[in-house]
Amino acid sequence: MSRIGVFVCWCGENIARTVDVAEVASASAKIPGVRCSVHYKYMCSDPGQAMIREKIERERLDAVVVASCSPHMHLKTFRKTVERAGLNPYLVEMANIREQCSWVHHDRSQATAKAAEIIRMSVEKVRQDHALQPIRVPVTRRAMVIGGGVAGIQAALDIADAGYEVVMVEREPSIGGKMAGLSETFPTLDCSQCILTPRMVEVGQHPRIKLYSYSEVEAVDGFIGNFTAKIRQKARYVDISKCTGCGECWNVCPLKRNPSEFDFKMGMRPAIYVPFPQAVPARPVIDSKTCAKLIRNGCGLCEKKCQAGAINFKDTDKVVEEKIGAVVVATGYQLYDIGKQQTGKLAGYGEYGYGKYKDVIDSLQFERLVSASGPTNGAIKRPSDGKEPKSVVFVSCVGSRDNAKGLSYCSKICCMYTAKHTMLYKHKVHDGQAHVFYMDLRSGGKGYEEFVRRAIEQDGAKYYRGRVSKITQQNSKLIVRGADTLAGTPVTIEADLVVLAAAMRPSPGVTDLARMLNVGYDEHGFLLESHPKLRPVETNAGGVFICGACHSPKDIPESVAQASAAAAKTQILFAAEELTREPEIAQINEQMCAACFACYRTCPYHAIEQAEVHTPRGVFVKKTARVNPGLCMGCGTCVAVCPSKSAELEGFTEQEIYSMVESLA
Amino acid sequence: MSEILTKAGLRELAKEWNAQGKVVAGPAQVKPGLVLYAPLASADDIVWDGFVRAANSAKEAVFPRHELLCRYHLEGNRVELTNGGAEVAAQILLAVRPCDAAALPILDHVFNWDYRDEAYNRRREATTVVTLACASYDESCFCTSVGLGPQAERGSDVMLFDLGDEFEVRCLTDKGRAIFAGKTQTSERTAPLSKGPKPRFSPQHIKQFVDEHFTGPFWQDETLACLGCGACAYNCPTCHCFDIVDEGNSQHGERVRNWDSCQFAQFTLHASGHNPRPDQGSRQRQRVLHKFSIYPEKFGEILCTGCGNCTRNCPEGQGLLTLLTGIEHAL
Amino acid sequence: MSEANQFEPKIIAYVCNWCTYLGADLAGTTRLEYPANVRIIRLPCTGRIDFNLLVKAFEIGADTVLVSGCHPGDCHYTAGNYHARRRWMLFRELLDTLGFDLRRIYFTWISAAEGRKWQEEITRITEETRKLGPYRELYKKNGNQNPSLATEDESARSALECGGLTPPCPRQGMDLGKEGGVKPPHSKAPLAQEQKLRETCRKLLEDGTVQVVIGYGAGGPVFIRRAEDAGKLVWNTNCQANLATYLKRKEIKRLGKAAVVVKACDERGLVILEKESQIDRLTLRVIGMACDGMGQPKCDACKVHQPRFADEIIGEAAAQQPETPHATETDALMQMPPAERMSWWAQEFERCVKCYACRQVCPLCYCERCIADKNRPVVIDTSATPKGNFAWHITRAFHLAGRCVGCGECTRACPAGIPLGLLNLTLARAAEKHFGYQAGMDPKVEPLIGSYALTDKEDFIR
Repeated sequence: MSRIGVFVCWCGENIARTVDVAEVASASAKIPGVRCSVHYKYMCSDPGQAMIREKIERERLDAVVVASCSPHMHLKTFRKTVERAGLNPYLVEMANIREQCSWVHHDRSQATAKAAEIIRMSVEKVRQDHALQPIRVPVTRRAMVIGGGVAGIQAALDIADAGYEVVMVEREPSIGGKMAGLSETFPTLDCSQCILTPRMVEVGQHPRIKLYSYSEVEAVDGFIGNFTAKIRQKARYVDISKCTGCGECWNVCPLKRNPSEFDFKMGMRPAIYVPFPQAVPARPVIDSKTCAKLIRNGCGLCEKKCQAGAINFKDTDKVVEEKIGAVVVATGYQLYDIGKQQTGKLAGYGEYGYGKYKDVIDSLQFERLVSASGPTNGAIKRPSDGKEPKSVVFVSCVGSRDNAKGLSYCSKICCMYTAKHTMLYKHKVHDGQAHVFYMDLRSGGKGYEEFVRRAIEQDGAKYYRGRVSKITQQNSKLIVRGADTLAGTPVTIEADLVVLAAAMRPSPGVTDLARMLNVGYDEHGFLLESHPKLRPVETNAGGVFICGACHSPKDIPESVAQASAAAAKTQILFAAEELTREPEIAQINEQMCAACFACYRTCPYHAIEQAEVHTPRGVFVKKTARVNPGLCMGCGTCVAVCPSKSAELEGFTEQEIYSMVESLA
Repeated sequence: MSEILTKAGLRELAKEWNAQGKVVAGPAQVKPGLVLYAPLASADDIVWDGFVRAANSAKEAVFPRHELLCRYHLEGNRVELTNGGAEVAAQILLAVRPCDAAALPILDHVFNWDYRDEAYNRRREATTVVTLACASYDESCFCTSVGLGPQAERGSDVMLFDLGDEFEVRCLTDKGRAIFAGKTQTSERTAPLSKGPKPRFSPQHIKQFVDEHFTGPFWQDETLACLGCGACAYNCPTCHCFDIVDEGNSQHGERVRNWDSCQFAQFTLHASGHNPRPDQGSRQRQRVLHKFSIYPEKFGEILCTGCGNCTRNCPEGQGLLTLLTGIEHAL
Repeated sequence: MSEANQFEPKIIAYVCNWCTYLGADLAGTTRLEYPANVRIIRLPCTGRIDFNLLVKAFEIGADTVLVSGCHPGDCHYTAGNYHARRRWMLFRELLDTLGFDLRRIYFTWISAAEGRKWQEEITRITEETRKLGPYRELYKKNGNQNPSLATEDESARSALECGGLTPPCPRQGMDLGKEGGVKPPHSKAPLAQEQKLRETCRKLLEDGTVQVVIGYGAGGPVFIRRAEDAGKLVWNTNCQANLATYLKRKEIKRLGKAAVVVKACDERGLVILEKESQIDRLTLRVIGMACDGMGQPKCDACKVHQPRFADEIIGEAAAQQPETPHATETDALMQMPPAERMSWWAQEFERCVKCYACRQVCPLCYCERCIADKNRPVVIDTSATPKGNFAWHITRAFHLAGRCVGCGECTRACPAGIPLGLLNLTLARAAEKHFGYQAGMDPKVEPLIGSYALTDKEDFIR
């Protein structure tokens, strides 16, 4: 570029107070190739931008340097400005002389000298810049929602109701997630299944929602607007198109005593089973680990009983492919397995006796006890002897907020559901006494604080601010030793039942899924959003959105809100005719490429493929690496590992960067 | 009657030259088994025997591997140029071999032909060449094949002949006499004649072959072992190709001249991407052509002194000698 | 020293756009002051930051260089900083071998929220550099052209030469004074191996399995195209060259299917070449020669006497020699204090004329357009100056990080007797120490550069 324009901004007083803008402008005028170098009070303002456009026309500028604030602030602004004047928007560079100069130095001469050098660097860079065109890709207007809990259901319904097709993939035999197993929800004490199941049915019946239940996502290839997903439908051994859901099979199944996953082992189920009566789809699945026919070719009673001929012991997994344009991840959570010694820091809480004493259970297990359709039909019974517990201790923060041997974060919902548990217990066992050991009471939502006060004031729950050190058993009672730090005394309670509020963790396998999707995750496995404040449901992988507990611990209203947000983002994506991607991506000079494929191995997005160069007549010339312009995110790692530097990153080419460095000589 | 000087005496004389501000270059042992020719820090480092010749050539004295031509500075529309080429101190090349010395007058032609290279000439004028005649040779020596020999005088200002613990000193030019005047003693002893290796090929045959066999499979077939590095050219006393590059940024920098080798793959690469010498065979052919046909036609001298450095330094034992004997066999 | 004469350090910072650059912006928005010596160069990711950029910064006069990016796990591009971290760890080892002042390079993780950390680091780095003074080791263009200059520590120097990788250079020739020149040393290898080799190659050419056999001849490498010429192949203790290097030459490739004669040490290079898609083992015929040593220093510590992956293996090696590690060479070098080490290397590199024999002879330097030949931009000065020579040798060594198999050809080929293999050896030892990795020993292992582990060390990163 040989006709460069330099525009130095005063930014009011922000720059001009410390940097001598006039001197800097005149120093820049002396750089070879600079045609004009001016300064003005507010470059980003209308008159400022008009000045830039006017200079572009008058001086026939072929590149522009704006010396002002950070490019993160206004690069997009100035790109639009020059585009209006007919100059390619990628021939603009910003010299950051505010955030990284005038605002951090006070010595005027030093700051001015530094500003001049910063501008010099930008001039040298822009001299080497290429005119770039945005990359256009088509869009497949179908979304895939991974996870059929309340968040996934909300997202799927929103997207489908907006008129787009949705593919939902749920790993369990039925959708509904954890919410389907809850009894009543805070703060309204709505029956969880009553509010959820209509929506589950809607999903099952929606003309635009294709539900893959008892399935998992195996691979996702492609890029925003153009994904191909491979979905493994696990073998149900029941043909759901023939099955009528009559129930003869699970009634006749002789193996009735398998611990129920849905009841978190508080109840039993047969080997052929529907997880819960309101399941969607309401069709059974055979547990291949316990079914006698599948293991040793015995039994087979269900097949004989089935009048629809829907049992198929020869069923196998099937892998299907779906083409989609966006992915919404709503994989939910699991509870911290507190009884187990785990790897690394997560040592489990053996001192609470979980797994050792039958009457020490976790919060989801308690939900199943309280639930009207649970293993005890809603009666609160001790797992050990079936008696009604008269004294129940609830322990908060088991695994949460524990830097030493647990997880550092707060699981957000436990204070609320513990309060709820005390109320539900009291409503069922009128002469019972609930005790809660807590660290803090976190009840920040709408009506939440009032809810907790009700539990204490109306339903008489006793709250002790302190932790539990140990739970032991004596005769048939559980001895809970804790502290009441407000009273300043130790507290020992003889409990009939102990409920531990275990920490919320992301569902198992979510990090594998994240890697498939190129989504980042933190050290706990929670998926990473693009920006914690301004982009909470987008990820750094274009076209992949997240919602619900897979992002961080949260309750049902928040999950539903995030799900709708993710659906909205998906709809924005689908509303475009075609997608444009930033062109600052990598390119391989195929003539120079030595085909060592170091770049192919290194690319975090698998955006580089092994390709061949042929003559126009089809004669093989050489192997080469080649960048897929749809997948490349422009990190430049390929450039760094390329030994011959055949790989280049537009916008940050070797020429551009080295020119900047050399200018400092 | 001859003039002699003890070896110790020559060392002392060299130290005197140093004290006078002259640069004295000579062969020194850098590592076990490696003798290189370079300006000496101390005359004590010079080695007289136990080796055939230095692994590198003495051409660096007049044609350095890296030379500043000029400096540039741009400001706005103004360009300022400052010449490179500082003052050159007088230099004495001590104990070069006849194959080193003969190269200098051969190089003089190309550096004064259509353009007088003042950087080269300044150094050349400041140089006095004191040649140590050869008492031995190895399988890579072929000076006798190109019209020279172990006691050839071409290019030398002084010839030294090793008599054991003293040298016979024969001053051939005024320059030579100027530095040895009054430093030698007369003696009866004189060096015997030395024959050198039997000629391995005839330069006329080489010229004939390369002129007549420009095309044909010989060059591709016989040069497969060449890896295309610059070890031969850079250690050759007569090779003189150079590359001019600018080192700096858009505002200031230096224009410099560096050695180049016709065996590098990019030697004749055009900006268009076309390379008229795209393979090693064509590059080797060009080298033989240049040294044995074109240069003689233009300047009347073969551009080779038969020192054998190319073969000795070649990582794969090739070098020009292998090719030339191959041509001789082919005829 | 008066204020006006105070040394002002020149600090160049390569930062990633998403974390550190925003962190620096945050320092600005919160008006945190720091010295004005730093110049920031914005790149999308630390993954983009190649070591050549660091070298170039010092070349143009930087006194300290800072490289900073996102914390591990937070990379905007998921894994760029992991790749960078591994590279930097190895690069520091190389710089340490060269005696580079490691106090001049800083690596940090600074997130977009850590404006204060940016301020503190820049302030600290500026003040430390001010105390250390200017750094001109890579900046010099005019060195001392005297190769016989003695170092201060003669004992260290001689230790390096005696135990060193520099073999006695056969270039001086023997003082024979008669025709015939040097006789090759009496071959220790049985004649039977040579005969078997000739027979094998004759057959391969006769039945058309290959069109050319790359092997050793009396005067250097030979390229046998006709079965009747198989007698030109030899096998003796002069067979030092690594013939695998010819596989990259286009003049050889166009001859057709090839067979190559390799010793087991050369064969290791083939493992890497295959991994990097440079050779096709289905069409390349590998003839492995069992070898009991060629009399080179590298042979003393050789672990691979018997080829392992060749299509034909000729001969049986004697029992494996007990391994004597290459400790002596690098130990003597690393015992020197860094500044002295750097002068030692500067002196060695002074003799380098940029002939690139080291590059041409290496089987793993196969790029058609080498980075040294690139001039838009110039990454490595072509000039044979201290600046240009350091840049070249640093690049060559680092491009071989995790790839060099220690065949020693670079050292053997250097006409100026520079112990180039020492640089490669250090990186090979670092690869083994940190990653348990040895190049070319196991075809199934992933290459070192281009992969990363979440557990990669980062004790040098603040």
